[in-house]
Amino acid sequence: MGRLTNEEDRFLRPPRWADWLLSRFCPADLEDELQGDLLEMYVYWLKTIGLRGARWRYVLAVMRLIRPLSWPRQQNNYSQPGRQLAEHRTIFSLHPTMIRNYLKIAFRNLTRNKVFSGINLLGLSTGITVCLLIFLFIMNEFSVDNFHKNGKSIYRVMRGIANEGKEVAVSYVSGPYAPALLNDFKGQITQAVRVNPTDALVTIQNKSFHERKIIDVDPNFFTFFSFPLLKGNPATVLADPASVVLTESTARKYFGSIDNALGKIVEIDKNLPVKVTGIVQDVPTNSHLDFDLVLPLENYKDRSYMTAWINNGIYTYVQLAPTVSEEQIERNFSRFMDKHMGQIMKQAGFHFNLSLTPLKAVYFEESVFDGARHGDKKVVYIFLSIAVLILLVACINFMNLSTVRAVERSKEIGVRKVLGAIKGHLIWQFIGESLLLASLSCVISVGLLALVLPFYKQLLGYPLNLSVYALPIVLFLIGIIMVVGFLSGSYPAFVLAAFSPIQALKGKLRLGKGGTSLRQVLVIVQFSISILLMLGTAIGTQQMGYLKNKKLGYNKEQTLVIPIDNNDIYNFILNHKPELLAQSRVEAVSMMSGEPGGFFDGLMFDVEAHPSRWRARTEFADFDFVKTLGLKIIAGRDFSPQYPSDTTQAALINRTAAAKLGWTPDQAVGKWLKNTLRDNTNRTIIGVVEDFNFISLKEAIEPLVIAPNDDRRAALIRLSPGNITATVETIQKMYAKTRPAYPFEYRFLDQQFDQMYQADLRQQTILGVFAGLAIFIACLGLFGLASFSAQQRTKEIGVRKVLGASVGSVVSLLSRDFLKPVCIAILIASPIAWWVMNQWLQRFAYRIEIEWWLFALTGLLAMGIALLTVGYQSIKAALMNPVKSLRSE
Amino acid sequence: MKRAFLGELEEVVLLTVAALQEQAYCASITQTIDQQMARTISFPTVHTTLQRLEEKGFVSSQMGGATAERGGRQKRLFTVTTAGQRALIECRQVRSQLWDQIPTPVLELWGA
Repeated sequence: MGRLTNEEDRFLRPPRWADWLLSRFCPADLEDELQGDLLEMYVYWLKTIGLRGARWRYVLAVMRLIRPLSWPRQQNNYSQPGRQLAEHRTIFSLHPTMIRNYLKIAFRNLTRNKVFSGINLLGLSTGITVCLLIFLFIMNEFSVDNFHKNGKSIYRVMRGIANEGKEVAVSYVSGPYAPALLNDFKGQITQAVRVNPTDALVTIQNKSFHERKIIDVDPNFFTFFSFPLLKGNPATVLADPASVVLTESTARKYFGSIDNALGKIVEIDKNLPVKVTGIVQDVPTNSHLDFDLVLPLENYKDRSYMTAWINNGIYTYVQLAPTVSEEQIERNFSRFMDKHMGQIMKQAGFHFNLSLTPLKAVYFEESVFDGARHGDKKVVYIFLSIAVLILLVACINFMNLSTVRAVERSKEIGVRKVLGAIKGHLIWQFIGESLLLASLSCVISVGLLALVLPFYKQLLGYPLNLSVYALPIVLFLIGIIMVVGFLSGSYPAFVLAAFSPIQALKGKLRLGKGGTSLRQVLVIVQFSISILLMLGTAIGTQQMGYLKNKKLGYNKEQTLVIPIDNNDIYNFILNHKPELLAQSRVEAVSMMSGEPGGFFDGLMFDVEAHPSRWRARTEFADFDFVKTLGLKIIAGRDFSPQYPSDTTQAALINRTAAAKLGWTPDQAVGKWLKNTLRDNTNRTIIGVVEDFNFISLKEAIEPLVIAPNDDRRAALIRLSPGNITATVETIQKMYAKTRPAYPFEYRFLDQQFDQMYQADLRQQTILGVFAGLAIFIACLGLFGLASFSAQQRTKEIGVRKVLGASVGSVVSLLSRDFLKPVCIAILIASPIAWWVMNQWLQRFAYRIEIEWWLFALTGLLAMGIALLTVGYQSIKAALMNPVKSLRSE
Repeated sequence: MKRAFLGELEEVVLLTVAALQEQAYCASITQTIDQQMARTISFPTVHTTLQRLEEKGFVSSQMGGATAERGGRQKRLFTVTTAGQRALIECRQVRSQLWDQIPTPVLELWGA
């Protein structure tokens, strides 16, 4: 034994935090001796079992000493009654026996009041399930591209073009950018990788597949991004130009198994044999890049998009040095562009500048037109707020029902108080109970989640990988238990704890006026939320219906869209057009650069009598374009084979173009314009077509110039009504006769158009389901309140009936109380819904007017639902035999 | 008051208090038991046992002098009360009675 020297003291002293714990939780009069003893023991342990053992024992000893049970039961010390009592109680309420008692009481209360606990559990678990679903969705959205190791320093190079004051960013640049960036920003940009999304015919032995998710990349692709390779070395897998990396499922599709695939030869477009050098894991849904095959870009180094600056079609990603900021690079971009593109920009009359988008932001980029996956941050926020709102509705249920139940539990509270429980104990008891209920609901909702997940995946349109989110889900659930437990438990806890024990025991307890009005406020909040969601869904559905049924200005029925992305189909349509038209059911065939609902180039024009260059969308089509789409010529004439010069010297414009240029349709005919990039001579405007919605209805109609040219990206075949399948089969047979390598692929124009709104429609459906659930939860609460109120007023109703009240008057008496808050909720929710939905509608160029009757209808519906919920209880109460209700007690 | 029963652990602790006389406080008792018995005993156990003994009236305590080893803190010194003495003696008597009842040949067989 002995004391610690100063030197020893510094290194060998017992853990400070344990000391702190002891001083914090030890009764004041014991602290001195315990600390002293423990210090002595510590030195003893140090000498007998060493430092580690000593520290360990010290901590253990402190832990055991601060246990309430190891404190002495004190003799009554009447000099300090207050303090004594308080200490005594703290120990008492934390006593294991008491905790067991709390649990038992909570459980008994749950089982005794089956209706209430059923409503509570059902409401809470539904709410939590919805939150979980939304949480999964949000997690998935925000995890996009998170898995790349260098993700923080990776940026995508965007090319911006200034158009009427607005900067429109395009994600495609051409091949020369990447090497030039590496050269000009030496030391600042450490790595660059180019990705060319493309499609090709892939042949394995004698099977051919038309693959649309192919990317051509630089050899450093797999070290730059972190797509995990199952086979092959990331650094060298693409070093040889004659190599290819397949995804797991593509390898299975081609060769049956991964091991089988490695080293096999695959032919690309029947002219480029490549060897499988690596297998990459299937691209996760949370990646904006999506691919099935990865080819070295080296194979295409002589293509124009790899050599010419003006071309585009390639994504370029750069990695910045750790010391360099995004702004530093962007500042020098205009000099970079002047150096490399100055000549071309001057010639073509436009100005480009570059910018960088952080990899994490690529997914949420707005209005970027590229093939990559994109999300909408607004949708994420909408979903987030729905989750919060629904949880709030569920919590309110719980609060209301618990306070109502307080009356029933008043005796228990009274007894507890008389036995010496102070407010704090009761508050904790009730919060503990609600924590317990929340945990129970969480367990149920995990089960529900498993049940509804398949449907949810279908609704979302992509798979969710649950196992990845196991930890976040657990954390989230713990968070929910905490929030819900405290939020919904605190109010009843305080109300219950505030009861006077005498009144509580006498059973004279009535919920005060304050309680009632607060409960009504909460019901109003609940119903406001529900009605808000209902209105949102209704207006959304109306808008989507409007878009679907809107006259687009062209025929979209019975029209096939055939993408022209290979020579086989191009030659077939070009050479067999007369044969196609000879079919009785084929009405018209046209080839064009942009199909309706797809991408339309924006190009610059010189226009007669206009000093500045003018930008318009362009369609390069053959002479049958107007006929195939069924457009209306409002001035001048259509293209015609009678005038062979039309191919190079004529153009059609739409009404908007004429208006933008300051002409009436008739004035426009005969004027000239010139495509600054594609034409050498001026074209005369030979006609004006009526406006038609060639792009999404979210956007207003833009000026369009239709000019014959050889740029062919799609073919439209319009069929006459009747047996469409047979006609398509005939066309397919005709195509097969040309012995093509590519399969015949087609879509229907109207389907394609619907596809544009599919994301919106999906969200609409999900929103609708959630709105329904919110109403369901709110009604559950109302049902509980109504049944309670009916129960409480049994006697009153009995007396009324005895005195001659009719059933109808009793029902209306009981229902009135509940309809009032619903009415107020309608008044509150309607303007909010109007404002929010008006905001949302601004996204669409074509939108419905929000009409007043919708509000009236939704209001009536909400009232109806509420009435139905309350009515059952009211009628039951009103029909009860007064003899029974009056005789009880 | 119910009959004060002396448990085995209590007996050991009480004996140690008696053995240590003026030097009997929680830490020294723990260390003595730790050294002399073949089993380790934890400090909190001794602490609670002492409290129980005090409740039962077998020991009394008063605060004693502070020493440098304990960081200048006072110690609670325990002394065996008359009741405690009686309990120990009673305990010993019961045991010796039982010992006496073991036949001598058996004891010899045990090598005791």
